[in-house]
Order: sequence, then C-alpha cells, then structure tokens
Amino acid sequence: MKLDYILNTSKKITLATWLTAMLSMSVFFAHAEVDKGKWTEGKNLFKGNCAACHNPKADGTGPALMGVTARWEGAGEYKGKTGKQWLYVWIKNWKDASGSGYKYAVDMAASRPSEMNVFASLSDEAIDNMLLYVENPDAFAPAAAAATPAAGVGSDAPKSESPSSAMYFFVFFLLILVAILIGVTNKLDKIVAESKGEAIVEHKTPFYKRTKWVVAFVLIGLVFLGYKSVDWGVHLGRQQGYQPTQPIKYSHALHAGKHKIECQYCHSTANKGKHSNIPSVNTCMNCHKNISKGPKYGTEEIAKIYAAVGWDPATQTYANEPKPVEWVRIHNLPDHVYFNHAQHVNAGKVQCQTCHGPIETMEEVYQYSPLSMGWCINCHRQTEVQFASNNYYSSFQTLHDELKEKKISKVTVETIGGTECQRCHY
Amino acid sequence: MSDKTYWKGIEEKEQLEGFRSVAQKEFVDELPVLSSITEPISTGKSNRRDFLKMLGFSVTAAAVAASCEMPVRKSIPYIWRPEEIVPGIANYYASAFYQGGDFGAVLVKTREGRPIKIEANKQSSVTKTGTSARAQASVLSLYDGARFRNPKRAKENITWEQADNEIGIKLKTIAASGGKIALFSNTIISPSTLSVISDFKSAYPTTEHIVYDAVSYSGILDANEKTFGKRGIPSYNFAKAKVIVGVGADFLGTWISPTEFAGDYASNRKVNSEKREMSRHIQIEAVPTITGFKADTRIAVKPSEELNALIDLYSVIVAGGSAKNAKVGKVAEELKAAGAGNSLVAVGSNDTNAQVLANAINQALGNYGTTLTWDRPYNLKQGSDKALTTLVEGLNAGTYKAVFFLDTNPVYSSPVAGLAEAIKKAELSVSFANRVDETAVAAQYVCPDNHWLESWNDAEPKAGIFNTTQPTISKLFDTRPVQETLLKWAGKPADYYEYIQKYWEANIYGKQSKYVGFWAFWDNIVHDGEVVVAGNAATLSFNGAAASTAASELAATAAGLGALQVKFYESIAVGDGFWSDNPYLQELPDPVSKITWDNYIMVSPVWYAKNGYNIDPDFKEKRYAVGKLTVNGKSVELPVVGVPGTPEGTLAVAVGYGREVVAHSELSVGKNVYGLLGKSGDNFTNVATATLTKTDKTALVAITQTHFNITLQDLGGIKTRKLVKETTLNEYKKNDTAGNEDRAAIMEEMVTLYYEHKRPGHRWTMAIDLNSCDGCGACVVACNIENNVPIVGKDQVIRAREMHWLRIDRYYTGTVENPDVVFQPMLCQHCDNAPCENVCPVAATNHSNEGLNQMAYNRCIGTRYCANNCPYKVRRFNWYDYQQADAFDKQYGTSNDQNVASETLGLHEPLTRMVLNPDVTVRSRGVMEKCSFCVQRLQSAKLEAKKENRVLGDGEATTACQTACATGAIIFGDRNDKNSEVLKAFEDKRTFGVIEEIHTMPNVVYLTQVRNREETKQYEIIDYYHES
Repeated sequence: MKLDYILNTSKKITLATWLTAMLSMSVFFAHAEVDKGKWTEGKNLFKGNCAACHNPKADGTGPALMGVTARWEGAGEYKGKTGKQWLYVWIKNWKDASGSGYKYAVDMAASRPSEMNVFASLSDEAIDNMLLYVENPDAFAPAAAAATPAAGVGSDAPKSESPSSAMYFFVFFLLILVAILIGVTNKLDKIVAESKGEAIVEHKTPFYKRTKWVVAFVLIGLVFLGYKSVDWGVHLGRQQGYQPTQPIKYSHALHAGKHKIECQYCHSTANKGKHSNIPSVNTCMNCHKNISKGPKYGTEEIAKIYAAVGWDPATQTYANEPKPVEWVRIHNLPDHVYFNHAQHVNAGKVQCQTCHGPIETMEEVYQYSPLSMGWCINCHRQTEVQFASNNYYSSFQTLHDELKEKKISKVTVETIGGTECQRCHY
Repeated sequence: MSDKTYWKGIEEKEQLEGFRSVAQKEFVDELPVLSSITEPISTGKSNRRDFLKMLGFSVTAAAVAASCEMPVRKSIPYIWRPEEIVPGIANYYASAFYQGGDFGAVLVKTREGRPIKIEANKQSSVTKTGTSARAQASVLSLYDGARFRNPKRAKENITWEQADNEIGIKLKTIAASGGKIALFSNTIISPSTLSVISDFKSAYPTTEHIVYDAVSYSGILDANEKTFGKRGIPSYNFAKAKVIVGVGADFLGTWISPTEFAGDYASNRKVNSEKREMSRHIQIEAVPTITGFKADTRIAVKPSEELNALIDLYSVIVAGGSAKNAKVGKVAEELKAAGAGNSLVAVGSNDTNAQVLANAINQALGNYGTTLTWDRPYNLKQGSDKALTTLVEGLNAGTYKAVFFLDTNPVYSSPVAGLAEAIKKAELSVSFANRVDETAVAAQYVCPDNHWLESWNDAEPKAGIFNTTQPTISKLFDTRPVQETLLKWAGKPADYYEYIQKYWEANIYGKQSKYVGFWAFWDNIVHDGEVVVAGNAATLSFNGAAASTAASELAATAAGLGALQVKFYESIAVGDGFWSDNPYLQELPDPVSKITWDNYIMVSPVWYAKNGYNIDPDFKEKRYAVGKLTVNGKSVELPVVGVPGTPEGTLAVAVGYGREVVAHSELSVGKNVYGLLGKSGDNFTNVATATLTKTDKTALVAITQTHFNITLQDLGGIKTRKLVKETTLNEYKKNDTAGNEDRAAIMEEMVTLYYEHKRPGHRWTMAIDLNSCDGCGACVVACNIENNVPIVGKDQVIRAREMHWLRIDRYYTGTVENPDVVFQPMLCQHCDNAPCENVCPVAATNHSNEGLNQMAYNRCIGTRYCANNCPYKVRRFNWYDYQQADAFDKQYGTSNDQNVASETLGLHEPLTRMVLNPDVTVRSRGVMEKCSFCVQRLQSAKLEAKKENRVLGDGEATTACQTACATGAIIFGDRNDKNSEVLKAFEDKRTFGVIEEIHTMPNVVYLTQVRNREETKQYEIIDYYHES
C-alpha cells in the first residue's frame, strides 16, 4: 500500500527529527565530551601562566584564544610543520615562530605592541591540555558561570557565549519540523483509516485538555519551576559580574596592564593580613604628585585624588581639607565567611588573577569569580599547598611519610583539612 | 576508689523534686518561644489553620525580603594609612590597668585602632600569669553609651572653655579667701598624677589630697604604722610559704593583689610525678570564699571567732600560752613546725588590733624577710577611713569650700550619712567621673576624665616597679585627662604626655642603668610596659609593744559581737561597686554562690532551714524569702540564700550592689549595704551584730548552680560517673595515680571498630589542672569577650539560658556545714567520638582533622538535638537574637546625655558593637553555639607560622581562657608536638577525662586535685578541723 508506506516514512522522519533535536540539545548542555582531568590541568596551567594576559573569550593584552587551534591550523603548513605544530612553537617561544618566517606568526607578532612571555618548559601535552581548556572554557565551570548576576546589580561584564544562538535556532527549527510532521502524520493516519473504511476516532477534547497531557505538563512545569527556584535560591546574594560605577574612573588596564605596576605595590597588605587593602590615597600620591594628567580623562579624574587627599597642585602642598574616596565594594562575602588574603597570597602563593581574573585588562573592575562556596571548595580540592617549600609543614610527619611511600601523590588544601567547616566559618 | 558523693547544691544532695525534674531536661522550658507566638492567634479554634497562615506569611515575607536588591557597600580607605595598622592584623600595646585596688599589667589588643581585648603582660613582674575578670571586662566600659560626652554644669552641657573659666574663677575666689580645697580620690598609684596633684597644691596651697578606698584597708595600714613605723603593705610572697594560714583573707579572690597572689600560690601547689611536694594551706573564715574552698583545711567560724582564732594563734606563737580553741592550737603548732620564715599568716580583718596581732605572729615566725618583705611594699591601697569622716565634717562645717572627686564615688560608697547634702554646701564641687554615678549627679560640675584605654598614664603598684599606660584609641568623646584638667586650673602647661616623660626623666630614668639616653629608655619601657628599679630596704624593725594591748582590745571586740553577726565582703565580680554597671561582670556567676545579677544574704543552709526561710523546699523555682537585715538601727531587705560552708550565726552580704544612679535601672540590682558598715575606732568595720527578720516578700534569684547538670543519679550519679577526682598529698606521694586508679581499667576498654581519626597536622588538646583552678571566673569573662558571647540578662539566666561557653562547675562534697569544694571549668570537650555530631540532621557540627568539634552556624537549623545529646551540657542555644534585634537592651546602658536620643544603646548600636571581635561571627537567633577552642586564634597563629616559613612553636596558639588564667590551670597546645606542655600534662598520671567511660574520647582532660592533709582511711576525713 502506497499510503501505508508514506505514513510509515512520515512517522520515521518525525522520530528521526525528534531524536536529532534531542541529541543536539543534550550536546549543548553537556557541551563537548571533554576529559575533565586534562581540562582541569589545562585550566590550572592557563590560570597560572597565561591568564594574566589572555582570556579565552575576550581580547586583553593578548588576543581572545577560543578557536586558536583552528586559526593556526587554517594558516597552513610551513617548513614541514603543520599550523598546529607552529602554534606549539609559538607558545613555547614566540620568537622562534616569528623568526622562522612563518607568515601567520610574523603577522601575529606585529599585531600587538606587547611581547609575549617565553614558556620553554611547557610540554606538548601540557599545551594540549591548555588548549582543551581554552577551546572549552565552560565545560566544567561551576553552574554559576552561566548564571545571571543577582537582581538589581547592573552588569556590563562580558557574558559567556555558550551554545551559539545559531544552534538554538537549529533546534527550534527541528522542533517546529517535528510539530509539522506530527500534523502531517495525523492527517495521513486519517486518510489511511478512511481509505480502509475504519472508524475515525474523533478526539472531542483538544489534546491540551486531556488528562495525560495536563499531568505531563504540570509535572514538567513543577520540575522546571523547582529547578529554577533552587537555582535562584543558590545564587541568591551572589554577584558574579558585578561592575558598579566607581567614584573615580580608575583603570587597572592602564596601571597594572600597560604600566605593569605590581599588584602589591598598591594592595600592600594582601601579603600580610586578612584584607587586601584598597590603597590609601597617599599611595596614589607617590606617583600622582608628578602625574597630574592621564591619557584618557586628562586632569579630571586625577583631580579627584587631589581633592581626596587635600593636595593643592598649584602650590604643591597638602593645603585643603581631605575627604576620603568612597569606593563601591565589589567583592562581598557574607559575614559568616572568614577569608584571609595573606593565607592565599603569602602562604599559598596563589596569583591574584586566579580569583580576580584578568584584572590587568579591566578598564573597570568587575567580579570575575562567583565567590560561591562550591567555587572555593573546588579550588581547595585541586590546589596543592606549599608542602615542600614551607617549613611550617615540616611537622606534618604522617603526610611526609605517606608521600615518601607513595600512598598519596600530592598534598592539596583538602588533605590538610582545608574543606572543613571551621577553616572558613567561625 | 572514692565513694564520695559530689553535689552542686542542697537540691542535688537531697535529690529534691525541683532538681530532678529540671536536671533530666536539657532545656528547662517547653518551647516557650513557639507558645508565645501562637497564643494570641490560637485563641480561635484551629491551630492548623493558624500554622498554615503563619507558614504562608513567613514564606511570602522571606521571598519578598530575599528578592530585594543587594545593598551597595562602600569601602573607604584611609587617606594616610598609619604605618602600624594592617587591616585584619591585631596590634598589642603594653599598658597597665588599675581600678579600685585591682592592678594588672596587661597587653591591649587592638584591631584597626580599636581596643577589643585585654591580655596578660607575661613580662610583668607583678601580675605575670593572668588577668582579673574585671580587667577583662573593662574594655566594654570604653564603649559604654552611658559615658559623659562633654563637660557639664548641673545637667547642662558646657564646653571645656566654659568649665575652665567658671571653675578657675571660683577656685581663685576660694583660694583668696583662704578656703580649703579637698581633692578626694581613691588610692592613686600613678606617680605622675601624684606629682600633678602636688603641682596643683603649689598653685592652690589650701588644697588637701584626701585618699579613701571604698573597700578599706585602713586596718592593715595603721597596724603597720604602729609596728613598723610605715603606713604601707609589705610584699606577700605566697610562692615561698610552705604553710599558709589565712584568717578571713580572700587573697585568691579580692584581697590586696589577688591576680599576683593566685599565680604565686598556685606555683607552689603544682605537683607531678617528679615534684610531689606542695604548700599546706589552712583557712579560717566566716564568709565562704574561693580561697577557703581551695584550702587544704578550712575552718568555718563566725566573724567573732575569726578574731578569737587570731588571739589564740598569738597566744601560742608569740605569748607562749595556750589556745582556747584546740583546733586553732593545732594550726599554731603547724605554723611553728614549719620552721622560721617558711610560713605566712594573712589576715583580712580591717581591725587595726587584728592586724597588729598578725604582724606579731608573722614576726615571731620569722616570716619578715622571707615570705613578707618590705623592699617592695604595695601602693595599691593607701586610703584612710578617717578621711571620709573628715570630709563630711569639713564640708558641713564649711571649712572645705571646694571639693573634687577623682576616680571615686563616695556618695554611693560612704558609710557616713549625709555626704550628698554636705557636697551641696561647698561653693564648688566637681566630679571627674567619665560615666554617670551618684557623686557626679551630686556635684555641680562634671569634667569627665578619659577612659584608661584613651589616656597616657603611669603606675607604681609596688615600690620600684613602674608601669606605663598608653592610649590605644583616640578619645571617643569630648573628655580630657584629669591630670590635664588639674594642670590647666593650676595654670601650668597642660600636656600630660610630656609631663609624664619629664617626670620619668627626672625621677625614674636615673634609677636604672640598662638604657643609655632617656629616649631609648622611654621607648623601651613603653614597649615593655614595665621597668623595675631598686626598691626599699628589705626589712624594717619591728616594734611589738602594741601587741598585748591589741590582743586584749581585740578580745573585747570579739566578745562584743552578738549571736548573729553580719560580715560585709567584696564580691569578685563587681568589686566596690564601680563595676556594677558592667553587664559582663553582673552575669558572671559568683564563684561561691553561683548567683548572678544580685546581692543577697548568705547564711548557713542549716540555719536557713531551722529559721523558716526554706519557702521552696523542693527548689521548684529560684524563689527565696526576703529577710530584713538590721545593723545599728539601719536595715536593708535582701533575699536570704543558704550557701554550704557558711557557719551558723553568720550572715554575709556583698557590697558593690544597689547602685541607684546608673545608666539603666536594670543594671541597678541588689541593695547598697555600705550604709550598714559599722565603726571601730577610726576605721569602718565590716563586721557587726545583726538581726534578721523574715518578711512576707519573696524574690527570684538568678542562681546557676544546677544549670547544665551532668550528675544525674538515675544514670548512676556521680558515684560512678567520674566528674572530679581528688586525692591527698600523702596518697600521691605513695602512688602517682592516687585518686585516678580506675583510669587504667577505663582506658583498657577504649576499643573501637572504627578507624581512628587522622591527625596529620595539629591535635589541639587542653588539660585543666583542678589543683590549680581557684574558680575565680576570669576565664569566663575572657571567653565572653573573645568570642562575642552575648549577655542575656537576669530573666533569661533564671530560665537557664545564659550563653557562657565556659562555665565553672563547683562541686561540694562532705557536710553541708563545711564541705570540700572542687572547681571544674567545663567547656566543650571536643570529643573525638562526639555524641553531638552523630545526631545533627544537617551535619552542622562535625569533626576537624585537628581534633576540633566544629560548629557551623550558617548550617545550623536549630533542632537542638546536639544539645540534648551532649553529655557535658556545654552547648548553648540562641533563643533570641541576643546580639541584635532582641539584644538585652540594658547590655550597655543608655545615654544619660540629653544630646543623645533616649533609645537604648544595646549591642546593636554602632558604639557598643565596636567591642565585638571582628574575627568571630555574631550568631543569630535559632542557632546552636559552643566553645570553639578559640579557633580564630589557632588559625591566626598557624598563619603567622606559615608566613614566617617556620614550624608552629608550643605556646604560640593559645585560647582566651588560658591567657586569662592567673593560676596557669589551663594548659593548651598541640598534642602531636612531642615537646609540648600539653602532651606532658596529657600523659601525667593524674590525668583523666570527665565521664570518659562512655567513650566520648574528650580532647579536654583534667588533672586530679590533691589536698595536702592527712586522711588515713579512704576518703573518710578524720582531719581535726572537720569535726562538727
């Protein structure tokens, strides 16, 4: 029967389209199949070595790196090396690549005023891992990475561009197709039935009023709402991406990025105490006594420093009544959380950028990390403490023994109790 | 094995109904919070509906509140950051605390420029071991909302300029007319201040400096003048004495220099397997004190018998006669047997004759030169009782035209009536008080002094020992150091800081040779807080001529006392009354009676029952009959409380309560009994014949003695539950596990199927030596301040809701008439196998790999299962938001100042919240809390070591209670450190864990108490003093 054949084919196409749509969706939400261990290693390497200048998704001192593998591969072979191999050469020592005359590398070297650092010690495997991270930066990021900032705080921060809108359109298109196909199939069903002379089952109530559907919709709705409210609850009070307008248009990109002023020149207590201080205005004056004009805003913003500290540039004296600068605090932790900068910066030798992101590229600072407990704990699980280099740990005899006996491979913060409640809550 | 029974009060000893019903519960009330919420609504029919309504409302409210915008927080940096301030790192400044005779060399901990905690200065040669509870609590008075904010004329605010002008004119007129000016003060131990006063005197030669102490030591001062020709108090060295006899002298609690004495006393009573020797201490006393309870032998007698005992000691030791009281005769024999210079007799009486006898006895025993020396006499008490009478008479007669009050509140504390009216007769009266008190209200002007934490000052507690006090915060209000005020009025340059430096350069710098150049000297001394220079001659010649007359006069005094005698005493917490507006001290349970927020008439429990005061025989509520105490025609009504150890015929009442002019009426608790003090010669006497009549009134008393009880007999009682262990020195000499023999068997049973916890790093452990702990309570206040523990107020204490993380359990054993007492500080035991951890449904309490039993407040949902399951009863539940919305609003008093609105300045106010430790979370309503082993201090010590790239040393990580303890009873440290003190203590043969037989594996252990007395049969005391 021809009709039967058409009906069956139509049903098969519908099913196939449905499956394709579902599969595409699952791919979106699971992202690519990425090896978590390698990815994590790559991420840590990237944060440690590259994040000061690079961001996978945004241009900074260096270019945005997502898709870098494809770009180099696309540049073609040269001197018996593939584009990707040239990328390895570039990463280890960029001068080797541009010096060889490889055009893409030469262009790249010319494209930016700043020079890249040399990373001769990185293995190809390590670079692979880093590239894995760079190409899939959100593969295992905490849920918060994709979350919207809390209500009421304006956010101009770059948002992650996870699954491209084209893909959404594709899935949407497929789903519409499924709907049309279901309609066609139903019609065909009727025609086949008619042609066979069978009684046509007329549905008196529309499908959305049928018990089965209603129950299904309600259930799906409940699950969705439940998920959403838990998700919303979890993110309550988090401010990732928070980028308030500050009283002075101070640029970290200019000071830390272009002029390469050491972070702790201004934030001098990060190494010593609980707080990383917002520099007192007298620190600004160390340089700005002489520099009264900036590249972007001229004297306008620097005059605000003078007003704060009471400096009269005309007479070069501290003649006026000082008035403190009221900065808007970006990184806020709840009162029941104890966080100590010295513990991380001094004892743990953690880079500022690990938590604060590519601060040296930020014209205006935003909150880079979610500052959620999950985010803290993740890092504590993965990060090794300075076990060998800090004498404090020399009294941890059992752990030294276990390391020697190879019972454990490394001592992370978690190993010494860094995920316990009372390390941060007291 | 010991079969002694221990009890915390009569109600437990007799297992009365009131005790048993409460002791079985963790929480005394049945969920009163819920009932109070539901009652108004549930007058209708349906509770379920109300519940749903409330549920709906709270969910909506929470949702609305939660969806609000996050607040915008400002971060305002310094304009010029002070070099020494690193945000988040505490600075410590050496300083000296002195108030009402209580001296302490201290370190002031400041955070971001505000003082938040007092610690002992361990380099001091006076109070090197710890601090008093009062010194700890004094940091709160800095942020007291009741402080004066500017000078005042009557109730009107004026400027300093106005005050200086007006007072200056009046002073000149008075001086020109030859009228006398009285500068009336407490004992001043600051040499620079005394120099300022003499400068003032040279400007106004008619000035008289009159010194008066509310708690008088006139007797001992006058006796020393009679016998040694010097009005002073010699140095007492309790560390050197082998036999100590105290006669009514509470030298561990309040007498002369208790912090110093407690350290010395305990140092000679610590025993271990190598050193099995300790001093012997006999206490003869009427009022039960911690000193008596720590004594090896305590003889409880009436106040008159204290005097007779002294006469007996005199007769045997000095006069070569015999003792009327056989017991005292044996004490005298023991003193003689100790050998020349090996004993010490300390007498607390303010009767000059008694002190003359004490001197004669000590002289005969050869103690001067060894345990009593004149090289460094105390300056802490110099007052004369005569001074007060002189002042009142002078004011009334009009000879004193002007009167200044410096660091004293005689209108409250004067036993002489009519001072307030007499002050009004003066042409000029000025109080320098920095917060409101009775005298400030009576005076025309108030010229507020700075708080001691805001001022430069100095101190000479003992001859040749000089301390500096340095400001640790710039002054909060428009106050001025009293020294500058006096200098200004005297027309001298008014910079007290420079003045001190000049004084030190001229008078102290030359006496030392360590530092060359004054500034090197000054900088180092300010840093260290103390300099010791040569003292006086060690001995003075003794003149015993007055002794025999003194003995007969004293006998007459004793004979003159009636059948019922009252003795007034100074309480450890509130002292002479200066501290009675400090809520931390009001809520500190008295170490002896365990009563908070009150004074009361302490009587013998036997007498109490006999005379019908036992209105609540089952102890169902904390209700006591009120008695009317009459002395010399004056009377006062106070609740009557039976306290074991009080002899029959003795009534004991604490002074220092009943302040009427305080910031808040709720801080005005108890009754003022200063007016009842009698007179003997020139001196006030705290002993008098009294009558007590029962009134129809009753009063609730916030007594905590059976709160958080862990000795229920149904569970075997204390006979099998090993809470405290005791032995005698003789037993201990034979066997260093004496009293602790059963521990070996218990430890053998400590087997488990579970893996042991891993302790890769530290293993925090605390050992508490019961032999050293004297129960004084300094640790409790130190803990409160370090950990932001809230004050809950009298009503909440009555409901057993005090929040103290550390309490001191006081166990009696023996007879009600004269029991033995063991003090046991009880805090979270940080069990390795903690019963609380297993029952928490949300895992808010769990174990750390350093052995801490952790409490995560933000995770706690308040089921209170953990408290129910804690065998030590050390968990505290926040029934209210004690620190914020529901703060006990009298916590820090209201402002007495018209400029400030009349709303209460509770702990939720910015000013008083400055005392909070920023490293410790302020807990909110509905969560459980408990001792954390001061985890913030441990973390900070660890971080310092990491930053300096070195191993954490023993003694670097300390707890607040440990640093406050003057006797060194609390030893804390890392048990994984092979060389640590705590490991030594942990492995000592005297060490045991409280009820460790239930396999809690506590990380807090205790060391057996050892008493130096004879007991032949096991624990059946045949000691001669314990006969009835």
